[in-house]
Amino acid sequence: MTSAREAPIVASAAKVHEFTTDLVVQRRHAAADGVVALDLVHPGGEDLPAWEPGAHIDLLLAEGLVRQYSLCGDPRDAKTWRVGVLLDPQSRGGSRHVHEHLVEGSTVPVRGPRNHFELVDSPRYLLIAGGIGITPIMTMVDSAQQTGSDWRLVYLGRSRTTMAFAETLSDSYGDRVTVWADDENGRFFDLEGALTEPADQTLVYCCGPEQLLSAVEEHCAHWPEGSLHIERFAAKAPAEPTAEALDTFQVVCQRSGVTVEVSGETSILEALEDADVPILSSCLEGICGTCEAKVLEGTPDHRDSMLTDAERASGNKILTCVSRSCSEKLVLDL
Amino acid sequence: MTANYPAKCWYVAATFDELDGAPLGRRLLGRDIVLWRLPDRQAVAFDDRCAHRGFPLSDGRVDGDRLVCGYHGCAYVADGRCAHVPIQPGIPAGMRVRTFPILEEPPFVWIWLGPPAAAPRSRPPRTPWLNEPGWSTFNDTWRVRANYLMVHEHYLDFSYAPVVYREDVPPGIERLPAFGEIEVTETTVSYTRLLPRAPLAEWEAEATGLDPAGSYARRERGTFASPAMHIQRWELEDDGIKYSNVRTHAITPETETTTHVFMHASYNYAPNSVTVAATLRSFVAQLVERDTVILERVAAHTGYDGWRSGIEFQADAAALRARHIVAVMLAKEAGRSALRPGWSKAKSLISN
Repeated sequence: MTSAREAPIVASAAKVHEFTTDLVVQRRHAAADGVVALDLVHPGGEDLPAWEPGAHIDLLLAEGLVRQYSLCGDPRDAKTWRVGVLLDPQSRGGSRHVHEHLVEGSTVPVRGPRNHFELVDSPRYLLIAGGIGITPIMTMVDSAQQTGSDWRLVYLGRSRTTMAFAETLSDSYGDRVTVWADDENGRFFDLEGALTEPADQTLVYCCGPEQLLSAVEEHCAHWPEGSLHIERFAAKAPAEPTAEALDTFQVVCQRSGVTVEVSGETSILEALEDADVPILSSCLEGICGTCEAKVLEGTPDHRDSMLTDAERASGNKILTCVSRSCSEKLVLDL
Repeated sequence: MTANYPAKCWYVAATFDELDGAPLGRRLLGRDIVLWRLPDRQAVAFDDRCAHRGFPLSDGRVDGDRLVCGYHGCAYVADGRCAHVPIQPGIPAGMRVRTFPILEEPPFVWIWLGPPAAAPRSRPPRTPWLNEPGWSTFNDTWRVRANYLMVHEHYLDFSYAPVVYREDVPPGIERLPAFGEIEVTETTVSYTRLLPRAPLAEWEAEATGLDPAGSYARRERGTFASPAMHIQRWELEDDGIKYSNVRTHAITPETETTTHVFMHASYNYAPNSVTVAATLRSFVAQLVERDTVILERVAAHTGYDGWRSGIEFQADAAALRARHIVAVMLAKEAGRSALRPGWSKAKSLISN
C-alpha cells in the first residue's frame, strides 16, 4: 500500500441510482385493524427486480415524503410487490398518506428493493416479530419452511385483531408459531426465558418496535457474535446533509475502543490503518465498497461513487477511503 | 482459490437445441452432469456417474424413459432411481443417482446445482427479445479458460474497445465516454453510456445499410443480470429508427478456472437479409475470438486473483458492483452476515 495518496477525484463519477419506477396499486385489503396490504404492479405488466426475504422498498409518497416498507409477498412472483402498512396515530405523514391516498388504481413511485436484513443460511432460526414487524419476518418463515430449516416464530402484539397475518401463520404452521396477544394473556411474553440458553447453530431475526428490539438485544448479549439480526423502524426521518464538511474531526471505533483524529490530507481509512483498526480496502477511490463501515453516530460527508442516493441519505454507512465528516465526531461500528 | 460462484443460482446448462436423443455430459460448477430428454421432451439432469462403478452415464444411451449406462447396462429413470440391473433380478436398495432441478425456457436449459429446496425460490433472468417477433437471433457456444467473473467483468467494462477493437468503434471516437448512469438493484447492475455523434464503423454500415458518412447517436448499455448472465446492448439511432444489437451471454462456470459461454446475438432490423446475418455473424465471431484471447492471456498470466487485485478505474464501477453482489451471495451461502465485518450485527431502518 502506498503511503502518499493523491486527493481522490470523484467529480466525473457516474451517478449511481437504484431502480425506480411508477407502480399501480392493483389490490388493497385490510390485513388487520389499522393495517392495509397493498399489491403493487407495473402499469405495463413488466417484471419487477428480484428480491429476497428481509428486503424493503421506498415509497416516494410526495415531495420529501419517502418511507420504507418491507416486502411481504412472494419473492417468486415477479409481477407483484406486496407491502403491509400500519396507520401510525403519530404519523408524520407517511402511513397516513398511504392509508388515505393509495387506493386501488392509484400510482406511486417506488425505489428499490434493497436488503439490510438478509436471511443468512442456517439450519435453525428463531424469528421474533412485534406488531407490524411481522412483514419482513413472514417472508423469512416461508423461506425457512421451504428450504427445510428448523424454525420457530414468536409473534407478539397487543391484541389479536391488530396482528396482521396471525391467523394464516397459525393455520399454516401450527406449533412452530406462537402468537402472543398481550390482552389475551394478561401479561407480556417471557422473552428472557425464551433466550436464556443460546441455541445451537441458531440465528435470531427480530423486527418490531424499539422496546422489543432493545429487550431482544439485551437478552441475546451472551449469544455467539453474529447470532442476532434486527431491523429497526426508523425513529426519525434521515437528516438532510446540509452541514459543511470539516477539515478536522474525530473517528471513534466503537468495538475496537480506538479514537483517531482525522485531518488535512489523511483519509479516515489511513488514520484507521495507522491505529491498527482492522479494516479492508481496495480501490482507495470510493468505487469498490471494500472499506465500507457502519455509521453509528455523526453525519458523513459522502465523497464516494458507490453508495446510492438513498444510502447516502440514510447516513448509516460510509466508504472510509474517500468520505469525510460533517460532524466533529463520527462513531463507526469497527 | 476457493470457488467464487454462488450455488444458489440458476445457470444455463445447455441451449435448448443441444439436447436431442443422446445424453450430453458437461462439467458445470466443478461437477460432472449428464443431461438427457424423456420421450415427452422434458429434460433431466443427473450426476454423470453410474451408482455402480462411476462410469460416465453420458457415454451411455437413452432408451425411452430410461438412461442406460454403457458399462453394465444399469438403467435409470427420471427421478434418479435405478430401475433395471441386467446382471441380477433385484435392484440393490437405494441405488440411485442424484438429480438436479431443470427449468426449460427456450433457448436455454437452466440448471440448479444448489440445495434443491431453494430452487423454487429463485428464478433466472428473463430474455424476452430472444423469442419475440421483430428480432433475429443467431447463437454460438464456447469455452474460456478464465474464471467466470473475469468473463463478466470483461463484458461490464467496455472501455477497452478503442484499444482492442479500434476498427469496430465508430471513427473519431478515441475513447469511450464515462458512464452516463448506473442503475442497481439488490441482484443486478446496469450501466448506460451515450456516445457522441459519429459516422459508422464498417460493420455498422454493412449491417444497417445506412450512409456511413452520416452522423449517428449511439447508446451502449450493459447489464449484470445474475452471476449466470450478462446482457449488452448497442443501439444506433437514425431518423427516429433504433437499430439495436443485443448480445445475451449466459455465463456458466465450468470449473474455478474455466467458463462456458452460451451467446445469443439478436438484432431488430433487416429480418430477411442473409447478407446482414452473415455480416453480423462473422463480426461477432471475431469479437469473441479477441475477447477470448485477452481473457485467457490474463488468466494464464495472473489468474483471477491477479486480475482483481489491480488498480480500479471509474469505468470499473459496474464490474465492482457485480463483484459486490456476488460477494454478498457467497457470504449468505456460507452462513456469514452478508455485510462487511463492521456490520456483524446487521441492523437496518424501515418505516414500519
